[in-house]
Amino acid sequence: MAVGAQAAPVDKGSNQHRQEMLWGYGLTSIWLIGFLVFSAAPIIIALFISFTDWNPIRDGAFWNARGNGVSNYKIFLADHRYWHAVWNTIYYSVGSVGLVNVVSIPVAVLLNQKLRGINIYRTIAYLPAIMPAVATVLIFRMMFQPSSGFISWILTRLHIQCDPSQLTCNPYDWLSNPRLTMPAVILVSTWALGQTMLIYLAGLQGISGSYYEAAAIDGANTWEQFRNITLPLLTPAIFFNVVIGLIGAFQEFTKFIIWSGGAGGFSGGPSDSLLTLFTYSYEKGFEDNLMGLATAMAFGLFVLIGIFTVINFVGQRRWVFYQEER
Amino acid sequence: MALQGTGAPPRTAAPVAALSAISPKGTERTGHSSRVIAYVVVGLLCVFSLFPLYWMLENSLRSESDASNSVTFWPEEFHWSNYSTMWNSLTYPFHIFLINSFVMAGLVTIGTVASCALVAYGFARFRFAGREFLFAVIIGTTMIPYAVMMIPQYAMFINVFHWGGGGSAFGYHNLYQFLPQIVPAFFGSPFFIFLLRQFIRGIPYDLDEAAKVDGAGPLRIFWTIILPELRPALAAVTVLTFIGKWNDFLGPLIYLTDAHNWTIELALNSFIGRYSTIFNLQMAASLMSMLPIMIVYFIASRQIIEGVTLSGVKG
Repeated sequence: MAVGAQAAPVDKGSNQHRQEMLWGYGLTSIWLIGFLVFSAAPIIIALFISFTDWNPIRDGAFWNARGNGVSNYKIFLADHRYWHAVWNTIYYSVGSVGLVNVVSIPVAVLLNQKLRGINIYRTIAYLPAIMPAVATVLIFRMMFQPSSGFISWILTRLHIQCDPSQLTCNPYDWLSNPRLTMPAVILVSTWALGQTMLIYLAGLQGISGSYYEAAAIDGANTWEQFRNITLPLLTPAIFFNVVIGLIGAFQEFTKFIIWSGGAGGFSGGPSDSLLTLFTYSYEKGFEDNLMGLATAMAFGLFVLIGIFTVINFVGQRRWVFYQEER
Repeated sequence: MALQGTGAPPRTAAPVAALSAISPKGTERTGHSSRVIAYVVVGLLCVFSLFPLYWMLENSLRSESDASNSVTFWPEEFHWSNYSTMWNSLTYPFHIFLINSFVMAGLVTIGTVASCALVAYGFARFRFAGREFLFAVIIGTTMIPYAVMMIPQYAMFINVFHWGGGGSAFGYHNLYQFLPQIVPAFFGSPFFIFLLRQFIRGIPYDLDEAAKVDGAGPLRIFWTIILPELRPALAAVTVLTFIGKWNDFLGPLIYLTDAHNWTIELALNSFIGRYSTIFNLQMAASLMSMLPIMIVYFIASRQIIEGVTLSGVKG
């Protein structure tokens, strides 16, 4: 930490000390009040609601709801759609985080080269990451249209798919074939790899050039340098991106809703292929008005996120390499 | 000692300065042919990033039957009227949705920046019992998934605060529906508090001391010393918050049930519901939701990239 980070020592009990404490409490209470009202209270309310059968249309305010013990938890644990949603959530999260990270590392290495106009390339490569998700998915929905879309056009020309203009042809239906919807959404998520890529780029900037000089003297080729220097020194960044990426992906919402045709009638996409824990909880709560069940389901998602985060932190000791100074 | 006497503050103490120029540090030994390959791959990368945006623009100008039936890379004919058709194709004209998005994201940004800076200042510069504990709580709250908070917050805002609608303000019905998203922003956001606190700790305390000798109080020190030093970090927080809120879909979806309050993202959602196969208008509407963000990015791409990089380095 930087020098002068701590406040200067003052006499305990002095007027100045009291003043300092007052300012400290005063300023931080802005956050503390918000935390108590908008985070702590809702968590308590969530626990309460999850043990009731609150239906806002029938009961009005949540305190009018009837308690029904642990039956919400029993209901969703016995619900095969819920377990299907668990599988879809893991499928999407591992798939998208894996793909985005695998693609981002070479991209970051490329954008770390000394090329003319490199800042322009970086700016362009990052742009998709801040584009609004709804519009992004709309563009890709159009590009993935089964016979008239751009993807279909490319696949036909590459002879991966038959020509949709032929009557016998049955083109890939990325929007309604339940086996293709999730892969399509995962592919769409790679467009916005900028966030992940930028973290890798910062990680690459932090690797001292002297490592590469030493390796070059030893006769290591580019691949060996990448394999034995870049990748190990990048593992803290990989770890960070995987942890943050998974927590985000478990709570992906917009892509599934828009890919299956927009909110207001979401029912899991084709054959529930886009039903994830978060969208299922939303469906139960805000479309079926079963708030108690939806809240209990959300705790299920919380547990899943917790399990994956713990696995990540335990597993990191095996593969994350920290440099001496850390 | 006068303030000017302290000389230029050592900017390197602030992490942003260290990163402000992410300098290319590529390997030099690459030969001529591999440089050509690098340029080709970088070119493909740019095409990958920009092509969907071009696709949106191009198809927004085609006729309805052309856009839904065939693939071209240049419009057969330029149908600029698509934009005016799209503009008035929902219950309210599109500028209503754009204004709603702008006001909501703007107020959230003002609230977040002001509150986070003050709270971060409190944590970084004042000693008080329980400070470390409270700061640990802040870090902890970043771990709570929104999925768990969604319904209880809704229950609280609607049932306890009565922010669900039914009232009128400034002559508009149901304007209260915006409050569940705007009011919490004025109480700080854990992640940005953390980021700014790290930043303030990097500002030399000597500057505060010197001002104190000159008789400046804590607020004056915040205004004259901390804020100017904090400007690059605040710029990053500002643009990231604005973009994040502009792009938000779930929050507006839950609270802004009155169509007059819809943000541009909700308007788009309604658009696919109603006009699921009218792609040219979908693309025109999508462009309208992206354009403001592109403008912000064009102006502030450096701050955004610094901010994201920092969040990774510091987080």
